[in-house]
Amino acid sequence: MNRPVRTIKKARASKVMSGAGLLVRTLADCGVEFIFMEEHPDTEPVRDAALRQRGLKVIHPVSETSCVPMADVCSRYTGRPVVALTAGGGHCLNQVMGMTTAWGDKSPVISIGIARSRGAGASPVFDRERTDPCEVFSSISVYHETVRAWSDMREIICRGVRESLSAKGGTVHIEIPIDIIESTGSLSSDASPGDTECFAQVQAPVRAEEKKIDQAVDLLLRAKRPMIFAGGGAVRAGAAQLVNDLARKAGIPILSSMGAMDVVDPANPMYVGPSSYLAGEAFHYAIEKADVVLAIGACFGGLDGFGLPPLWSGKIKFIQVNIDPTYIAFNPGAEIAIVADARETVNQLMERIEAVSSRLPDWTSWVSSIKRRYHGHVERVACEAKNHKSKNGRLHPAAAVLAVLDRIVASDALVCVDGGNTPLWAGMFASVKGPRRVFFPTGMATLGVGIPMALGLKTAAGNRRVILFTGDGSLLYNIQELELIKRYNLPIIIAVNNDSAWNMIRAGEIMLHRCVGTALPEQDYAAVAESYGIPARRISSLDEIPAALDKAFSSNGPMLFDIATDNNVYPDSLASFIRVEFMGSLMPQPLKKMLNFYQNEIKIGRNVINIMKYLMKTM
Amino acid sequence: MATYLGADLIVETLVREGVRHVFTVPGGQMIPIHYAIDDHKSMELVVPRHEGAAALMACGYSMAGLPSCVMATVGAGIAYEAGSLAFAWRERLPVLSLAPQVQSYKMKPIQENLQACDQDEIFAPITKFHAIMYHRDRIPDLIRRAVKIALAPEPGPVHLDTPVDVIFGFKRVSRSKKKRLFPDRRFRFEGSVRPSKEAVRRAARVLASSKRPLALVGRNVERSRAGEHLMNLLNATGIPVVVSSAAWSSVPGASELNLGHAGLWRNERGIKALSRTDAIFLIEADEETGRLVRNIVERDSGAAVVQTAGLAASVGSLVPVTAGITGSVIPVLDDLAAASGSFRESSHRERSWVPSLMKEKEVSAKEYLRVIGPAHRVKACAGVIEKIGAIAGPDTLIVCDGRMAAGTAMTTLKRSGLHNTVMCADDYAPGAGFPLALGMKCAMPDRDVILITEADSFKRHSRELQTMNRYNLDMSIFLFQDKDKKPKEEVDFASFTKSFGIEASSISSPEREITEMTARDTAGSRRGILFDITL
Ligand SMILES: Cc1ncc(C[n+]2csc(CCOP(=O)(O)OP(=O)(O)O)c2C)c(N)n1
Ligand SMILES: [Mg+2]
Repeated sequence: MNRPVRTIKKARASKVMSGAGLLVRTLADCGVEFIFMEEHPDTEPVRDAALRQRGLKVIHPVSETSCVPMADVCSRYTGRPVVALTAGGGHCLNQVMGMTTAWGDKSPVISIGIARSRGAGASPVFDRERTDPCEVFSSISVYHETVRAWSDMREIICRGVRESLSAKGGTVHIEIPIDIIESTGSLSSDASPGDTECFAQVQAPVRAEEKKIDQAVDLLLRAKRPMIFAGGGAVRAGAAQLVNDLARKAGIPILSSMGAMDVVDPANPMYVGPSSYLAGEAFHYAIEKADVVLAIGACFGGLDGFGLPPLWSGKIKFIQVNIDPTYIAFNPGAEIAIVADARETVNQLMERIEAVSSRLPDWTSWVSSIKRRYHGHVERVACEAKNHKSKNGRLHPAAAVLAVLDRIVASDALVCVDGGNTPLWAGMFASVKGPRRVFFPTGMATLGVGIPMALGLKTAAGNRRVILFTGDGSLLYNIQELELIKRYNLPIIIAVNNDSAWNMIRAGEIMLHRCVGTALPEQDYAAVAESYGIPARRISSLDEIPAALDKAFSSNGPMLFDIATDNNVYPDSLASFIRVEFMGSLMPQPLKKMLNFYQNEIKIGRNVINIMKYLMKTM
Repeated sequence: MATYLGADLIVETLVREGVRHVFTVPGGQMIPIHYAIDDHKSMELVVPRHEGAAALMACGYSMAGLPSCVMATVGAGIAYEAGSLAFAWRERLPVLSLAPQVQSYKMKPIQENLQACDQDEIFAPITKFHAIMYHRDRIPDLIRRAVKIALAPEPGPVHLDTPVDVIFGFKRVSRSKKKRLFPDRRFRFEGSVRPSKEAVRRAARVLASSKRPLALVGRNVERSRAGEHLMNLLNATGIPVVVSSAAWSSVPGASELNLGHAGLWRNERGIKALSRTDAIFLIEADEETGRLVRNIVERDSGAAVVQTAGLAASVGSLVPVTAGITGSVIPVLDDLAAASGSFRESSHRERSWVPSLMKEKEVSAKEYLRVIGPAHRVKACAGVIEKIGAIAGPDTLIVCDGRMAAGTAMTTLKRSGLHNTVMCADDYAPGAGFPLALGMKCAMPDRDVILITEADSFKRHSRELQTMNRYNLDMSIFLFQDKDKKPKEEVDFASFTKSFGIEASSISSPEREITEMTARDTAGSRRGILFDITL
């Protein structure tokens, strides 16, 4: 991995500069390259300074709400801190969406609000504009601070960057009053906080104790059904390739958490399916049967079934590797705990495994028993999708997704996913390989960040094409940013799974009872895109997809496909998801409501039966 | 005995609190709440395309004076909602915000659940009250308490989280238990609070002896629909008035005492002119009038200050006061009017005071229009707004959004009637105007609504055109685009609007074309329409 932070250079002889100048200079010194900035009179001084600062790029989204999601994905892609900068007050508070999402994914986003001076003295009971955004952001950031003097700014920014990259990492919010941005001061070598050592600490990888490595390998050698479980920490540490190598070398099947969607290479012989629930039955089988799990940079969140019963077997012995001691045994207890850098640890494990390679048991039949379940599952879905006949002539979403995936696997395109069921469909086939290639707001599953994410990714990824799979519900949230895609004629392809429903919720409703509030109007989203000047077309048959994609790939600009799909089919991995989200809540409904179910206009179709069968298999 | 889910208890309480519409974007954890709402004939779900828009619609609904509720799903939903609820907080709108949380045994501290965050802490700084409904038996009580606090003086939003196991959990509720949960009692004070006679007399005396009195009026006068009472008092006493932009519609444009909005005066010259006052009459101060009064007092004007406020703690919180009155807006204004008798004729009042300020206002208005946009655009915009003013009846609601559109309207729009215009001029919540207008239309379907907005603002929530069409929240939208700024690849708003099934037309000579629209409008066409005006 490219190490994120350059060492702070001691500033040479004192130099007079504005607050804005000091800010951008410090950001550049901290290794920041991109600033997603709201276009606003209050941010102008910073923009002007940033344009003069070498190494900084400024991108203006259409709406300030998009700044953080753009920065979020950009930081996840580059592994470096990225800045989102907006005006103060309500503009700043509109960052709660992006900040919560980025915080949920532990992305190193530095959000900066340029605050209007709030004046002193008025009673806060009275003056509600004085509400401090730092307070609002306190629970969704790892560090937050208000700059109160020109001379404090550099230190606070450096601290923010350091915190954002620390063990757990995550979002940071900094308030800077506009008066400080506009005032001047002088930066001398002794005025700058000698941050060199602190940065060095952030960068220094930590090795695991040899004793622990021996114990871990011993435990693995004794395992009948071992498994490697890679989490977001593995990606952040730049250990994606290494964990793949380790699995291959040891012959141990490897699965990943939802937060590390693209970490496992589908070409790896130890690949047994995509992340977590997306692998469907195979995932449930594996976590029920495994006896030893080597977890690398995983904290076992809700989207991974917490690593605990009822989904995971209670008998599993966990070897947990994490850089942050808090995340050791955060959910399931650990048999062996290793606090160290994932990259270093995997290297150490690999050496040790090589040394004992002759004693490695043969786990092939265990590996293939998981694989079989995964392939069986996706083949059944693919087959159903292909033969799907809906009354209204709409396509099966899985068929649509497969047709698009077919065309993009061979390319080096980056993928963003947005929606409810849409990501489940798009993720279950997982033929796109390579770390940092697929992006989804895993922690918060926030709808609507797809377009900003695609833009943020495009900014960071140079020539690579970006494809966005999105639900129709999600598409409109930040539709205003199509304007930006058009303005720079960015080659972003948007595939809309247009099922005229908030379908994940609608599916949940059907399983429970009846549908309320989850229908969406029939809408031609191609027409919406065209009003932005973006070429678009409505797709109503599978045969149209390859040619349409060819056209998109040969053009240098954006394109949107509005694919009309059937909302009466559901991915059955939805059932896994619902089981955990509602654990302890989904008791049988009162009799009266159950009776209603049968009077309902919704038939218990084939799909519901499939889901029932699926649930039986996962219990 | 009947079985109640936690969700049923929530909705039962909402019904009893008079909530009719719930603005929400669906979420799995709220499904039983959707059902319970659907089961109540008097209640309806309104589903826009963004939780922030849902919150702003609830704000508009609340501005119409109705009990208002927004509901957003755990984590992701509330994250979009929060920024918009901050608008309710600033604007003192008693909006009830509800959200599910993850299971009670998995929250606080969070355990890496999907979508789990300490949402109560996000809302704490921007609500008057927040709580977690850990136990089903506390649901009715906590909702009633939240609503009561939301409505109490210096109103504002409140937020309640409910863990998903409490929402889904069900239990039989006996009749006597139901009686205990929903007693047949009153849960909040609904009358008004009269001010003390002594306080009123003292305040009246200060105002009566003043040579150059000046009234500053804040948003609670607008929220209390107290414009008529205010004007009775001002007309009886001849006190000229500056309003905050939120209270713009509390003073008739044609009043000879109307000095316009605070924004006109917050410049060197304006403050100097106002500082000649010897008695400031601060009525329900808000941020805008608050800043202005401090600017004046900082000049050592030596003026007496009379302040009236609903909340005792607000009196004297900005500047020291000579006389303070606490009480509900309308009785305070009425009692003051009664106590003031007819001292308008009092001989010591400086005759040139009001005319001199009026002259200053003209100057300030010119200067103000100069700073809010390029002269030719502001002029054209003013022309259109004037026309709209002529078209609109006193019952038509006009919402103005954006610095230039609202700024121009505040200086040039002439309207008859009170409390029929909403100004979003100060850029606190960019683009709030459209969802606010939708929420108002939802609350008052019989009234015509006109939205005057500009591209930069409208973009923020333009997706809600779909919501407008879906729920028949018809209105006429006048959208100003900047010809100079508009890059040629910018969105074509007319076809954007049409793609949602709403009529739209691009207008190049507003002078002529808007008259035609008048004709059609009077012919009774009541479909939504957008006019894309490039200036
Ligand atoms: C901001 C936000 N609001 C609500 C939800 C709850 N939610 C999860 S999936 C879903 C439906 C999404 O609809 P769409 O984007 O059309 O995708 P589909 O499920 O239909 O594929 C909703 C409303 C959420 N995750 N985020
Ligand atoms: Mg959908």
